[in-house]
Amino acid sequence: MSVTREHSAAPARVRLRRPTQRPVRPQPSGVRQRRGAGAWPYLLAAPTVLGMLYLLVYPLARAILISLQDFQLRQLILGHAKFVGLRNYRTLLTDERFWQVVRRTFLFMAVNVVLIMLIATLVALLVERLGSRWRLALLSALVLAWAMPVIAATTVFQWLFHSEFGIVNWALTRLGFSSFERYPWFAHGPAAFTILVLLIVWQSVPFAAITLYSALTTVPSELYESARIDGASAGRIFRAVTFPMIRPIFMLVFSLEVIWTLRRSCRSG
Amino acid sequence: MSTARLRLRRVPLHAAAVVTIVLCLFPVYWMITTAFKPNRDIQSASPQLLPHTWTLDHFRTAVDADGFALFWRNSILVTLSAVLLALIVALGASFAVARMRWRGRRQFMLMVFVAQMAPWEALIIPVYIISRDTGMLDRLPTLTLVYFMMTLPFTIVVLRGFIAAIPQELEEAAQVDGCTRMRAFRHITFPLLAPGLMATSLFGYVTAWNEFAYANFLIIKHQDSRTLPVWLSSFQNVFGTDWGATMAASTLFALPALVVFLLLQRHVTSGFAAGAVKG
Repeated sequence: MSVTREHSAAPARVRLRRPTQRPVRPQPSGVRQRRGAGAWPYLLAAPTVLGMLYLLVYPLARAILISLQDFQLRQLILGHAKFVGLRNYRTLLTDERFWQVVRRTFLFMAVNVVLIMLIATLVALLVERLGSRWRLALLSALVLAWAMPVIAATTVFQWLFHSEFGIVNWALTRLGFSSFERYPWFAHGPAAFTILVLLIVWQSVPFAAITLYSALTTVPSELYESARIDGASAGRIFRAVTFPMIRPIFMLVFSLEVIWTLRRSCRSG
Repeated sequence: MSTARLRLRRVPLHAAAVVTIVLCLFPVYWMITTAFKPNRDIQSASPQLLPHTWTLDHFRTAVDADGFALFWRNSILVTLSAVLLALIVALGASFAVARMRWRGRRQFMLMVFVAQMAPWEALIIPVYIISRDTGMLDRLPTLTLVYFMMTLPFTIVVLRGFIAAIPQELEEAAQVDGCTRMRAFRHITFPLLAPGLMATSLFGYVTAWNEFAYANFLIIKHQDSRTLPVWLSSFQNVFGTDWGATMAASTLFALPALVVFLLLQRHVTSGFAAGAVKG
């Protein structure tokens, strides 16, 4: 993962990095030699490695061990679990409900990530085109939505979509959709699903948009100018100039959102 | 004439900006205003966008609820120590990765990326068992360690980007002038890293401040060690239909993050992004 990213990210930072990456240097001995040798890098990395071993690898190994045991509430309290091999896995993988949940989770994730990336790209392009005062206002709004803690946001969305006193039902009814009067959003599967998607998209777009916007600012404006002189349309400029330049960051944000959304759907499901 | 036309052309742009701002802010705004409204205005058929009468009753209910101050202190303590620990450890690791050549560097970074994807929800049972067996259950340091590990990989990835973006020549020049490597780092690189440290610590802060599953699961018997997210969720259960109090509690919970983010807005947007771009 890191390898491919380093290669594909190269064009974005060519200007910055070129001096350090050229090995032609008049004084090759002193500093460079010291950089290669010694125990320092290992000492600096050791706390991270130790932390990961104890707090990630070890629990993961315990989780795998438990997955091979007959482990229920009794064993959780008293200990002494019996080894049962792959029986738990067999039970799980042959259960139709499990596959149903897996399918639903991935569908949920796909819907969310597509929406997040689409909206975030549009918002990023919007921020880039605004004047400085508007830009500050929009960025502040994004940052505030981003800073909103998940639990607080969940509570607020429950209140916004409250069946009796919620402002969403009120607004929809006022706009003429009288079927939304006292509409119980959380009682229907698809409606609750919609709210969950809205909540996750609302929470995730700011980070993605801000990151993509900052990637946009690294695209040299000369590229846009020459494309415009050549008569390219806005859509074509985006496809041929903007997107290839921000692709590394786009892919980074994309993969982060996939992970985060999957995790979040685990949490809320 | 031409400026007027230019302005006209920007109308859809500004309309889109207004819509985005409203969509971003409305839930936050609605949370805060609901918290200030008296009950009869909250439970009315026609909601008021601006509260007619203001009241602090709901905040009083929230603050007077059991253990609010204690949980607030716990949350702050756990969050700050986890973030500080992650920053210190990540600073060393990302410096080693960005500035030194050593065997295993690539594997180390790969490990960090994998750790970033760690399935924390799946680890909650083994972590519970391990902390029970080591006598760490119901204690805040356990939570601190878990949050430290949750934020560490991301912190390393972003800080590495920030360090790599600082020209190494600056450090080398200082070393040529007789600085030790440590001093060169402390006086040259570290100050330039400030925005990066700010951005990553904000991310860690929000992660730790929000975390609910572990806080709920690892601290069971010892109620005094609970943290704010758990408090907020139990509050909601107790005060279920009292939306004013629930919104006041949510406001109090969200406030630190909102204020800190808004104050550091510039660093969040520019600083954080610069790190991500280079990462």
